[in-house]
Amino acid sequence: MARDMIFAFFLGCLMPNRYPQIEKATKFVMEKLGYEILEMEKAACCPAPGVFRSFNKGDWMVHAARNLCIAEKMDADILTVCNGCFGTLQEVNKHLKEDENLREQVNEKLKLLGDYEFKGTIEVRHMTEVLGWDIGSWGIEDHIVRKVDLRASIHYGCHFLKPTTIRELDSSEKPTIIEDFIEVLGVEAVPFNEQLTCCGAGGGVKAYDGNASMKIFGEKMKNIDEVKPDIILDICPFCHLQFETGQDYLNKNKGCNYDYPVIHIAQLTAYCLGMDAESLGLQYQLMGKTFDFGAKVIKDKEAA
Amino acid sequence: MTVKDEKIKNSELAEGSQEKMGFPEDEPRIGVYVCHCGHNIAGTVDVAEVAESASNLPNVVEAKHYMFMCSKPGVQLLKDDIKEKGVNRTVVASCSKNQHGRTFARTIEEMGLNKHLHQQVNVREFCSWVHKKDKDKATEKAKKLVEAGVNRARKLEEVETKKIRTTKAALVIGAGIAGLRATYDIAELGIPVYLIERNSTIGGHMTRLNKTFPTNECPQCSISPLTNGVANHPLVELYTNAQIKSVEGSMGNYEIEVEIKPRYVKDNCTSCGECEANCPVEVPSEWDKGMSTRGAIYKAYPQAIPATYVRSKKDCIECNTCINICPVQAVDFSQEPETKTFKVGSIVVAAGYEEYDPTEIDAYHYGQEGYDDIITQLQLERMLGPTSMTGSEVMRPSDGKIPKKVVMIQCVGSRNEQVGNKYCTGVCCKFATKNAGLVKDMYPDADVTICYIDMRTPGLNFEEYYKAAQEKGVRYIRGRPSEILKDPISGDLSVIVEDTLSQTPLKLKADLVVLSAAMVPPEGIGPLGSKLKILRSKEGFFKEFHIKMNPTASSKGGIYLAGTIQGPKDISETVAHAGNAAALAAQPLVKGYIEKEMLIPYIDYDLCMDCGMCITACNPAAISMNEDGRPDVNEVACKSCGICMPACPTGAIQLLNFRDDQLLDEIVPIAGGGVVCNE
Repeated sequence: MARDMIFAFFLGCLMPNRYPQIEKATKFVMEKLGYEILEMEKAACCPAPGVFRSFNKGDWMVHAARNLCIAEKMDADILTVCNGCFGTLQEVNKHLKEDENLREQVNEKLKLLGDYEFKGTIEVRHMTEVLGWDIGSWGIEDHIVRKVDLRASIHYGCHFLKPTTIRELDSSEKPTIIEDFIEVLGVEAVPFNEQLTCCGAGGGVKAYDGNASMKIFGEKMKNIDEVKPDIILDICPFCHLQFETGQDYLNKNKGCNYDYPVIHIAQLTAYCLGMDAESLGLQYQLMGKTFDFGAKVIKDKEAA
Repeated sequence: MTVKDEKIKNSELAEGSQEKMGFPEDEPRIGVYVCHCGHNIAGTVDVAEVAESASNLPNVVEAKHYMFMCSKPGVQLLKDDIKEKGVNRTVVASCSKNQHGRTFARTIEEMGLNKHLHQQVNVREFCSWVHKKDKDKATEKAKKLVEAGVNRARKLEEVETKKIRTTKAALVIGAGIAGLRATYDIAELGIPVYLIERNSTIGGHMTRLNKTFPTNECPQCSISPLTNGVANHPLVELYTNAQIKSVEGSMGNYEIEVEIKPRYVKDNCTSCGECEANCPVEVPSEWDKGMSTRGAIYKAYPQAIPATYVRSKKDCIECNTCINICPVQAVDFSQEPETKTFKVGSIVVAAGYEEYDPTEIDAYHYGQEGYDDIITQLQLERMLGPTSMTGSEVMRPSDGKIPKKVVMIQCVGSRNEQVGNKYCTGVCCKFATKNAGLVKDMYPDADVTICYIDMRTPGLNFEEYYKAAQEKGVRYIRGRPSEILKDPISGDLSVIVEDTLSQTPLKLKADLVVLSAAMVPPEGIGPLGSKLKILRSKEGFFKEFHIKMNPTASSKGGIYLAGTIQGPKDISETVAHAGNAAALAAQPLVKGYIEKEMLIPYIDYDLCMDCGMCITACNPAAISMNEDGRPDVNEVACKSCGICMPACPTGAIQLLNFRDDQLLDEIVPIAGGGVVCNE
């Protein structure tokens, strides 16, 4: 068991490069909630569960194990805000903890990379899971300084919950973890058709076949547009990227006129916990640049 | 009944034969026979070499190999050598003891030898089949196995067979179609039957069906001669609202305690229905799968047997209206549960199945709020049935409208590793085809679609039945639906499925979705199994003794399985299965005795310290302390398992033919040879 209330923050690739505002929001939220957030020195790509695993499962595991070893040395559980990073690190961590033979093989290869040995002493946590279950709607209430008044279409993404036999978190067909958490922030979840399908980004689709990716995404946006939410709420920078650039693409190429602000759960929570709107970085995003959360201040910011 | 009482009772029941026990006096003259089993053994093992090597072993007077030892000329070899060469112990190296051990044992018995002087050596499953790639090593291994068998044969003892008298009565658990069939068949052989049913009525699932395939016959009409026949049979005692409390005894002589819950209505009930009509309570009817309601005092359905009303104590608000209104004063809240004890020779378990509850499959949303129009096939049967609340019309539970688009989904809870059921129920393709056809008959303009993985309709009449449904216009789509969607705006349901034959993703609009749910083991099978001490399969049903040759015997002597408690079946299969269980259960009761081999442990009282470890270890409780404070073996209750041997700290207790030195002799050649220890 790693130390309590301390996380090794695994940044991944996309978030620090494209959406540093999510990183900032995550640190803000976690520190407000009393967690200590540590940087992981020399952490590399997770590597992505779709592409890397499909080509070479063995090396995929070794690279993931290397990242896990860094956190083990820090004696801290890993925190991630990305479904892809979560998918890889959680899965490899679980496999290596359970399969002694595999652990030996991976440790053998890890030696080539330096002073690394997988011991199986930490857990890998997604921020959504920490917010939903460790903090919970009951626990976040005391920390809220603003309540928003929003209707949100929630996008869970694929790797957060699937495969359920490995994640063992929530139902992948009717999950409620996000809905249960955001209600207390003032957000109403607006279900839409085929809500739990892929955004079209992951699994190498976006990079390999842009047309297919946009076809999947176009279907998704059509379903979202039917229920006219205020925002699209996601929990993964890659889905975030897809919803941002995808709307832009559909507007420019398919005659659409979408402008749904895309908000990561870290951004939403940070805002409710008192982070100023400017730091959320919506002005740097493609959609909803001037979006107003319409928040009601329920606590004096200074008091919070 | 204490163990001591049981021992006295059992020793009264057992009759000895004329056979003698112990080590034969003559010098062992062993015949060894190596079977080719066609290519099964001889294709891998050099049988001639094995026979040649066996001929050099001590006490071996004959060693041969032959194409098929189990054939008539094969067993004749044994007979001839016993007669002409004076062979007095035989070793056959062929298949497993389970398969043909008895064939050869019977042969030497015919020739006047005790059958326990035959030793079976398995060189097929244990050798040739698993070492196909290395013929030389396989041959070496076969030689060692044969030498081990010869060593064992040298010290074999003669064991006698006794006759155990049986109690001429049977108990049947469960009064569905399987239990009724078995009860009737046993009773018709002149054997008294106690029939125990945990519900308030008999007839089981079959009475709940609307029609039966492939003839679309009325199930009530088919089953009621049997329900009436059983209920009125002079040799059948029927107990409803009854459950097994404890089971004692062994094969041939069981003693069962049954708890009978009160009906709170006396037998003078005329079934007039005044009580239910005036009962203020309204709860969903279990029998109707929630498709209708009942009172706290009720009769499950109009033709229910017994026709006496029953009061559900948990639902009753004790307003006493029924007591006051009953014209014959039959309602009696003061009734108490009673316990009865039955003595029987055989038990038939016919506890049936349950329809799988699809609530755990989130993607299908069964039972979730706002998804009322997703029902199971059994619920559809109840809607279509002649006494249904909808007047036999198909209606959407949400708004009572007649659906224009019906989609049925196959394999709900079957062939689904995610929910832990790998097996195919094997019946759902047929009942979905039946119900789809019936709905199409009733509403020719309705779209009726069945989404399936594979259509499985084998056997006479069923392909025709499937085709007839297609001709009626039932649409079959090959694909397992990934989910049932509810449009958040319109509230309409649609089934998402890929037509895998044309590789087209489809979104089928559905007014009503019907799930073809699997057959799963019934609630309470666990406690029942532990009371009966019988094994269950990994799927949760009670496990048959042999899937091909003995599908109705359980793992325990004298207890038989009938119908779906052993695995999913349709009605025809259930009836045939139950009939076989009845025949097997009746055999020892008609004959009056069971033959038991006295392969039991003997205690060397010079070594025994009276510590009682064997008594603790013995599962069938066959060992007890006698009046002198020394352990004693009950030869009838003993199951010959040998667990007492390792429990004994001094080696005082030794199972016949499995004594330490006999097993050691056998192990030595396999473990790499060396000197046989004669300590």
